[in-house]
Amino acid sequence: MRNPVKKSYRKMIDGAALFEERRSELAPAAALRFKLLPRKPDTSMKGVELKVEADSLAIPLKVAPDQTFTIERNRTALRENAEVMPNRKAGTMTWRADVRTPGLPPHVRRLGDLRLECEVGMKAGLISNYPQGLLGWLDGLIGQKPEYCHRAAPRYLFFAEQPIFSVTLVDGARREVLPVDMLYGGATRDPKWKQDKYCDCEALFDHAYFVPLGDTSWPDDTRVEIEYMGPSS
Amino acid sequence: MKLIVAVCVLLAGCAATNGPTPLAPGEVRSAVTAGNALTIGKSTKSDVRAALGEGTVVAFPSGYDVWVYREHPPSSGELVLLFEPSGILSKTRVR
Repeated sequence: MRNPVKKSYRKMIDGAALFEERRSELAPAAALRFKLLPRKPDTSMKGVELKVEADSLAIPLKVAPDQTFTIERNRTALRENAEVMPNRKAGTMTWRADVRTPGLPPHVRRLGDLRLECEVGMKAGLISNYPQGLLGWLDGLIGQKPEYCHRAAPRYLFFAEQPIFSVTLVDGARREVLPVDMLYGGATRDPKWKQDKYCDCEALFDHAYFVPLGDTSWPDDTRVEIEYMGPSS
Repeated sequence: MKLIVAVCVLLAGCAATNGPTPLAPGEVRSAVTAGNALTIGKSTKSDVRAALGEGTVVAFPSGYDVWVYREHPPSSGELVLLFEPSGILSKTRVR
């Protein structure tokens, strides 16, 4: 395929290594997968095939029905600067780390999991096409390191399983509904959001939310409770 | 003396017009009070527009709309409304 939506294998392996390094602190019971997401409204996620490709090898990766996959270390692939390459063109899909502590309901995430998702995602270079100056809220994300995630309110977008109406942080008796500006990629503050073709949330605006990752008053066990627009399915 | 009189006249003028600042589109005095004026499952977009004026609208391709009203004077208070594709208010949230 010409111009595929590829990522650096080495960076993704670096991201997986960071996950192992930071897991005991942030998400001891969690597992890491990577996830493919549609970036354009007309992108079909059916039949996505994925492989690690370099000069002398092509290793197929198994993509689960939820579009997640894992990645293994391979010396040859590292030496040859392999790329992780789906059968889709650039600009049609985006990527995220997927860190999940088992046992939570589908509409609940754990803040420590999200903190680690952000760090792995930044290390693995999964964020793409947030150009400087075109989307002020997301400016400067490219080229940032995992430490970016330690800011009080980093603009690292998470995507819920369904369109969201509300996100609430819950730590024991303490509850805080996130402001609407932290949903929908900041669309409520950006009247031109519909014209934006650079955010990788273009197809999933209504699933997107930010979280105050670096606010240490919220512990890693904080529940991030998501209320969907429609009934949960 | 003339200066004192002039200042007094100016102050009186200010006092006479010192009412609440007019609300801009998307602003409400109280998010709670504004939310109480609406009925989930019944209020339409026209009803909300008549009661609260224009909000900040985010219209999604799915047909759902989110309307936002922020408190004025500025605070962290906000009222968020969700309209179903049919145009009926389906959820509200006050922060």
